[in-house]
Amino acid sequence: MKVLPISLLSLLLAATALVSLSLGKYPLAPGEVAGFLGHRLFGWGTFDAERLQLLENLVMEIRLPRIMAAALIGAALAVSGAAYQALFVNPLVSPGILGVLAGASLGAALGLVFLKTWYGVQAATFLGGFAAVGLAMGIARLCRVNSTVMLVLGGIISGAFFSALVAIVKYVSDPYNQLPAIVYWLMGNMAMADQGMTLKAGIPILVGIACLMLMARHLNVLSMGDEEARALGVNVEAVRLTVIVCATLISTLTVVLAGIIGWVGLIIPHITRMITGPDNETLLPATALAGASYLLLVDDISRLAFTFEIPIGIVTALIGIPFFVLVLKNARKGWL
Amino acid sequence: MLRTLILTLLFAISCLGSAQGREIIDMTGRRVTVPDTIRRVFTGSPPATYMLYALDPSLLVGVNFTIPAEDRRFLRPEFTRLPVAGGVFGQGRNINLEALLALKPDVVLMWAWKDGGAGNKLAERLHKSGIATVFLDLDSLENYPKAFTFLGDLLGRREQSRKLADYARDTLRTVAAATAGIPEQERVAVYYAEGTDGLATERETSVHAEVIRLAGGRNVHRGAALDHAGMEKINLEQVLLYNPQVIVAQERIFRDSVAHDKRWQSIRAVRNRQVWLVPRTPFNWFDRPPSFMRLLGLKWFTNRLYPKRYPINMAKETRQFYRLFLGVELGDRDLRKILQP
Repeated sequence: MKVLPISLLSLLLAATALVSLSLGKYPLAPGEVAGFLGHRLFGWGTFDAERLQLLENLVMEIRLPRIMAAALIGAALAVSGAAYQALFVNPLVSPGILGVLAGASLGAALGLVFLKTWYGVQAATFLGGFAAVGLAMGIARLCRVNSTVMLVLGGIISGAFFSALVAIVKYVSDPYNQLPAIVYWLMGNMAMADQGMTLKAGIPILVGIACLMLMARHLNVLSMGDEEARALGVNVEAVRLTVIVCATLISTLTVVLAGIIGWVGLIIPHITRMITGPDNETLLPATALAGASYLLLVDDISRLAFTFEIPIGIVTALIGIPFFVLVLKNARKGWL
Repeated sequence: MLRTLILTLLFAISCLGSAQGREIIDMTGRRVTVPDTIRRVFTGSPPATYMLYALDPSLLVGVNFTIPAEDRRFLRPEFTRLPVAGGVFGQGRNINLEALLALKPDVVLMWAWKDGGAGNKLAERLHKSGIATVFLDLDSLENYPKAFTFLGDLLGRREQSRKLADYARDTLRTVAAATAGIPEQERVAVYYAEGTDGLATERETSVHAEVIRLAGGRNVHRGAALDHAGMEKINLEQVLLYNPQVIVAQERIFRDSVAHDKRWQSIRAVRNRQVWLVPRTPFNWFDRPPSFMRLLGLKWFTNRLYPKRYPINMAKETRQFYRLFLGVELGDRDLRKILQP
């Protein structure tokens, strides 16, 4: 593990988070936010009670949970993308490859049409993500070919199937009450992230990310190919299953928190790999930090650019794609 | 036997006669030739469909989308039995032209959007199939009295249309009179919360927020509407800045969650428990679709905003409205459920 890039990226994340905390539609001077944080953490300075109440609400209830959610989601998507790219030995793989995002979308859409409470929607989203990945693995197993190619094909089938089901749900939903809710949710929406939700989804996301990082050494071996990995004494099936379960857990939780946010899981691992090289032991933590910083930045733009809020899924694509093309053009290192 | 034959012949002759038709000028100033007697009508969007329902449901040949099961008992059965044929209202099912022709409408009624696009194209294709399209101007609630009168004349339902037009005119007039003298600083600041997160809204001139304006409320999201679609996403901190006195919410999920969502607590409306959920049975009282239900919505909203200036008995008003416009009688339990959703 290289220490330098990771400490630099940690600093970047901390700086982005602090800057984001002082940005918002409600005009607060950065100095005041800093003063409030000092007061809150160390008891420095004094504030009058009403102002303190307002700052508490704005900084601790509104901005902080959203910043934490953005960072968690960015990290989760980037890490699961990087892990999948190593697992499938394929640079074009993103977290959605096994259909998890399509499955979670279906869960969310069904939840919005039939369940009508947030807990119901979130539970349905979570189950939908796992159902789609389960279907992909089932298809791969059914064909009795134990290769990653079969798994990818299973994922494509499962993803297409669940996307079609989402279209059906949209079609039969009430055009005035339910359809807009589904459409907006599938564009990505950070506004629902409150304190309780961020904590509840955040802990399993952190556990999943940690678990994937522990698999980094095995992933290095796996990216040489299944045969070689077996020869080196790695239990390929067990590693693969662990990685898939962890990646599914964290990417489906991102949908639970904020709807569908694309592109992060494909672009960020690539960009990070160009900085750190392909060793997963460095790449996975580095890409988590980079993904978190990137999504924070994108969310700032989505919050502040206009009088209205741009759905974050749109911004990740609009900003990510040209950036990605530029980086690819200047890339010298191979992807592995 | 002979009698049947003669009757059939007579009917055929009358049909031939009606095929020649008469020329009318529709609400957008187009000259259209329509059959003399119109018996079968299809409508391109829900607001027009509901107007036809209020006028005479037996004229309709289809509806635009499936009526949700829980709303069916507040509508007359001849309406809920109609086939779903789609519509041109920017969402939901598109019209299948062949399915529409199979319903054999005498005329198709369409709400003329300012940017007409899809409607004009459909009208052109229907014209080639020999079906006249009549455009209605429903862009503002203030056009409804005129629109009801126009429809009554067109379809030969003058008695009912006069009642509906009078009701609409009367409602608009009394509400305007009651709210006219309110000084600017006494106008209630209203935030219109759409979407499950309550963070989509409309600007003050938007057709979707018309009830707030007509009821004398001050829509906190100022400015001219950006587009027809609406549902502009805004930031929670922006709502905090607006600090509205009343939040009028479209989604139950939002209304239920906002009461214990800490982020919203410093807003006046939430602190004082002034988050009102819009009644939506059987059609929304406020918007989406923007239908004649807004007349009752306007009474409801004005009464809640300014109970002293506009004192009415909402239960009585609701019963009367459902009888006149929807043709149903409300029981006490239904009434409670509708008024306190």
